[in-house]
Amino acid sequence: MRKPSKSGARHRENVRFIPPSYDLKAKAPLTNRDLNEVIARAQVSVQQHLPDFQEVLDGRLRALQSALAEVTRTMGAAEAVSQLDRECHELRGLGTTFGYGTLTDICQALCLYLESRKTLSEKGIDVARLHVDAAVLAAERRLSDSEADGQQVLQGLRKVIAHQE
Amino acid sequence: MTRAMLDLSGLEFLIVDDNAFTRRLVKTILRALGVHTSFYEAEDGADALRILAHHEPDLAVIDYMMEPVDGIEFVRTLRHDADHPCRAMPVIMLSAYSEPSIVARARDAGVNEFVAKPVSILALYLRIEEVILRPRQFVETKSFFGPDRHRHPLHDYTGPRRRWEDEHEDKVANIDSGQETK
Repeated sequence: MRKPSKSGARHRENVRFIPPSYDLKAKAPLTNRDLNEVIARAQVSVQQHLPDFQEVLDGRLRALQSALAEVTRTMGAAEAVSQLDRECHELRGLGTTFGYGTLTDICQALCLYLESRKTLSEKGIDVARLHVDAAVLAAERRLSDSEADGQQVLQGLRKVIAHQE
Repeated sequence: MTRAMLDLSGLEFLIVDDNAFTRRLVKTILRALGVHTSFYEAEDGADALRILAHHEPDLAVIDYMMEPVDGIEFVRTLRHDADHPCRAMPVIMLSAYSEPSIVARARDAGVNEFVAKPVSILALYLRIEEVILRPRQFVETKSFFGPDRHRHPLHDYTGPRRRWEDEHEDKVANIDSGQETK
C-alpha cells in the first residue's frame, strides 16, 4: 500500500509534506547474493534477445533512412528534421546493450547536432546523411564502442561537424 | 569484492513501453535480477492507467515517448489523482531522450528516477535500490505532487528546515542501519 499516510503528513503554508514510505524496504530485504555476479548472469540472459534485436534494428535503420530521405526531399523542413531526430533517439536507445556501441555513439552525435536546429541547410543535410550512412555501416559491422574502426568513424564525423560549423 | 543486493522476488512491476521488444528486454532483466512475480504490461500511459484501476503493483518502469499518452502525462495524471491507491507508487522512467530539459520535465511530473537508454542492467538495479532503500518524502502543493525534488541537503541553506527527515533524524538513522523498517 503506497498511498501516503495522511496521519504522518505535515502542513506548512500551502505545502504538505508526506513522510517517505519504507513498505518496499520491508518487502525487499537485503540478501547475501552478490550483485556483480547477478549482473554478469543478467547480461548473458539479455543476449538471448539478440536475434529479435537484429530484426528491430533493421526496422529502425530503415525508418532512419526514410526520415533522412524526407529531410532531403523537403530540403530540411522542420517537420522532417523533427522526425529524423525522433528516429535517431530511438536508435540511440538500442545499441550498447547488444554490443553496438558505435551505433549508439553515432546516433548520440547526430541527436546533439539536431538538438539546436529546427531546420537543416544543404550542408546540414549532408552532415545528417554522413551520420546515417555511418550508423548503417556501424550496424552492419556491429562495431562496439571500443573498436578502433568505430572510434575513427566518430572522429571523422566530429571533424565534419567542426568544419561545417 | 562482493556487494549485497536486495531480494526483489516478491515485488510486482508494471512495465509500460510501446515497444514490445523493450518490454521483453526489461522483463528479462528484472527476472535476472530476481523478480519472481508476473508482470503487468501496458503499451502506453492510458493502458497503464487502466491496469492501475484494478491492480496495485509495487513499482513502475515506464518509457518516456509513447502515444497517445506518454510517460510524463501518465505520471502527472497518476500523481494528481488524490484518491488513487497507487498515487505514490515509485516510477522509474527509461528514456532515449536524456537531455536535461526532459529529465527536468520528468522530475517535475513526479518521476522518482530516470535511466537513459540504452538500458544498463546495473543502472536499472541501482535506481530500483534507490527507491526502496532511500525513498524520498512526498511533497504536495497546488501544482505538484511527487517525490521531494531536493534530493541532497543544501549545506549553505539558511531557510526554515521543513523536511520530514529534519525532524526525525534518529528514525532515519535507525532505518539506515536496518534497525527499523517504517
